[in-house]
Amino acid sequence: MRSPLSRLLAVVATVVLAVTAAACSSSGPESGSGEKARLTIGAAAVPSSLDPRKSAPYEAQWIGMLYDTLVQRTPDGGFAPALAESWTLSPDARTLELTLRPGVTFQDGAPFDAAAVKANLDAARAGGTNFSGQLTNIASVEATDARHVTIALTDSGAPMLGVLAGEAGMIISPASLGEDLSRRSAGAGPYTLDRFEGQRLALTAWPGYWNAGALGVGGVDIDVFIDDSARLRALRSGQLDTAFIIPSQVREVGDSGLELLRPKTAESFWGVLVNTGRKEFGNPLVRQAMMLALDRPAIARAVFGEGGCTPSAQPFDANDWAHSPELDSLPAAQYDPARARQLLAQAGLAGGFDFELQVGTAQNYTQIGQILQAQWGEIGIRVNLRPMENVQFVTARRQGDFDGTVSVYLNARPDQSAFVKNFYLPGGIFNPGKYDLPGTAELLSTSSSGADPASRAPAMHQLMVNALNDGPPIMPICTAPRLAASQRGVRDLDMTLETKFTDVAVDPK
Amino acid sequence: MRPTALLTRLGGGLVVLWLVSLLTFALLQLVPGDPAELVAGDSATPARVAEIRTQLGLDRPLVTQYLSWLGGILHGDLGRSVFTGDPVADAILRAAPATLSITFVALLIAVVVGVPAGVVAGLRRGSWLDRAVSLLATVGIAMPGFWVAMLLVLVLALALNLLPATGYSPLGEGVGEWFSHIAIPATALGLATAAELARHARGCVADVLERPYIRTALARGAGSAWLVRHHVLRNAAIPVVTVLGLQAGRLLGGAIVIEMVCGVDGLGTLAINAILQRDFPILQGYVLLSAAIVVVVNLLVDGTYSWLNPKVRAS
Repeated sequence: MRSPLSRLLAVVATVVLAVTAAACSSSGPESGSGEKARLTIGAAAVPSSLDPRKSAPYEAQWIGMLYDTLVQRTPDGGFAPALAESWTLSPDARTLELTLRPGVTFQDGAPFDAAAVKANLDAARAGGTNFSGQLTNIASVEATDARHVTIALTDSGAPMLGVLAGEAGMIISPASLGEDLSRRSAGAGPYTLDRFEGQRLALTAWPGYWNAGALGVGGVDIDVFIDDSARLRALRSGQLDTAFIIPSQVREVGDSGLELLRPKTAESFWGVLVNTGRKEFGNPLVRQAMMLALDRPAIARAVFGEGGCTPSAQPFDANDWAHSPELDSLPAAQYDPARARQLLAQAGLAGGFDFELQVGTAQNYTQIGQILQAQWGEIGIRVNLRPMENVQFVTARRQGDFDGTVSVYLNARPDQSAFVKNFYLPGGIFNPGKYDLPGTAELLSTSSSGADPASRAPAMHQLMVNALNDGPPIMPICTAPRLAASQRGVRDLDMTLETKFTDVAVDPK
Repeated sequence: MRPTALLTRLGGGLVVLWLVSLLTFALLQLVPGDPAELVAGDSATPARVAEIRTQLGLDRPLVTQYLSWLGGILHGDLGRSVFTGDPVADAILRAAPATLSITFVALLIAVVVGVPAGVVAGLRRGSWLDRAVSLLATVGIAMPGFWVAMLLVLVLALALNLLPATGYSPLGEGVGEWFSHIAIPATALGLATAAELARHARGCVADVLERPYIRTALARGAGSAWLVRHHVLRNAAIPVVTVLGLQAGRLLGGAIVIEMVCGVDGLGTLAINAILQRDFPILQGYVLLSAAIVVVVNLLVDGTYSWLNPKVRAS
């Protein structure tokens, strides 16, 4: 009798040989089915929910494909018709009238009309959604007729367009309003949901979409790779058509013959937020000194590499109407440690002071934290870095439980005015110290009255310059575009936050 | 194993699982930040967070939460994901095949490569073969699995285009596709275990060869092949099986890192996501499953002892 061990070994060897033989005869990766090729995207995180009412900031991109929005934000920051064909803001900016696109139906067959829009907005205003807070200035929503909706507002209404270009404008078929839509779709968007399992989201182009002619792909598959390098390897090996990348991968993208996609307008910015209710941060001189001690180009280059993040003392991208062309050349926005020391001395803090700076655990955060520690150390401010796990970090920030915190924030979502409300006005979610610069609310109201960017810009620029000169509680470091890379055969790909992936096409492989 | 002994072992296993459930639940309560914070999103008001906390039942007393979870498990219900509302059991069943495939093939590679190499090295102590095996085993243990995985992907997938760089293909869609996807992660994961097994097998064989009964058998004129089969391998197998049992748990843990590197959508990825999203029900289900696997493997190892060694059977 043979020993059990050798019998086991024999079995094992046979299985391995059989499997290896089978592997050698395998074919290559399967090609896309249907007439048009599918687009495969490598994403960085699994959407927590496909319900627009529950989505997190960067998930709107996937959800918008299922629902479409009333208004479409264009890559350059403007607005284009979508479910709403046109809109007018009354001269007093208190009434927004939407004209809806005729003949549109939801994917469940129900007609898309003014009653559906009213039902959605009213339901969200009643609370229970992540964007209900964006609709608090709506006084009433009226369906004037099947194609017209009149929204009455309690304050200047220009920012409402941006709101309707986001989750709040993703109209759900009224029949499904009362249901949990985490894992199914009830919208009127260009794609229907095939499946959403684990790390993969599969969508198929919907022939009933109002703009179905623009659909260049048969479907979209979204594969999630949490690990940045694994995602790029999948793209390089041809398993993905496009993927999000991080700034340090730009060189590898170029070397491997892939196309780099850089959005025209950076949608977020890195900055340090100080709590004006704590330490010495209530003193404008201290904040001014801290601004002057920031060497932004050095931080941006060291942490994000060349072109990964554009140094700026304001949160908005240079292509954004809210960006003030002269702000970055003002004395208060320069790197001037000598002047910073003077200001600290003037504040009676020649010997400096200590504070705790909270950072996330990702490498970007800790690197920025360390450089800030050095730069502020130059003027005598002693920074104690406290790396915090993500949820803890976000919670501390939300509850105002911090001296200072390094973060990346969206700068113009749902509207540029949200930045001012969040950071500069009392009651703002990122203003725990109740920072209140006189005149800010009035300038914001003026800026929110005009429908077109040119009329909104002057007041906004003035507001930002005033805050800069006062020493802003949020100290911008650089504006960061979300980078992506794609294969050469992918055409007209837009990877900005509000893309609906309608025009993109993939050459047959 | 006698029935009473078997029942004792099973009972012990259940107690271990219950303790694990209690510990997991208690430890997760110590984690700062709860799922409601994440579900609510970055810029939610405190009122919205409180509202979601109530929806998720997180405002209930801890004992009530634990008992309702435990009660669910006894009825085969592991709860539902905080984010998606999907049953935890479904999420685990969907992710398990990838991880189990990788772990199983890794274990297979480890046994097929490690054990024979160790046995041969042990039988030919001091030879160049022995030295080569020992050297390779040391290198194998020293190299981190994730690094080996990245190296294999760079060479086999990106440079030579022989295997897919990432992902997993279910066994149902063809054995070839399945194997081509798990070859890299399984090799990377199995290498260290193979090295560990080789070192143990070598040591055990060398140890057995020193025993008096081997000398006696040789003196009786036993052929060396017969001797190796009947005395050396069987006696050397017990410590090797012990190590194998311990490694099974390690492989399951190691698979988490390898899955991230190789972009495999398995249990490890599920667990990492659950941690990032504070999806406690998923995490509790995952820990409980891992504990159950380790308990079962230990039972199997115990069973194997008595199969290999009659003395254990008698005791």
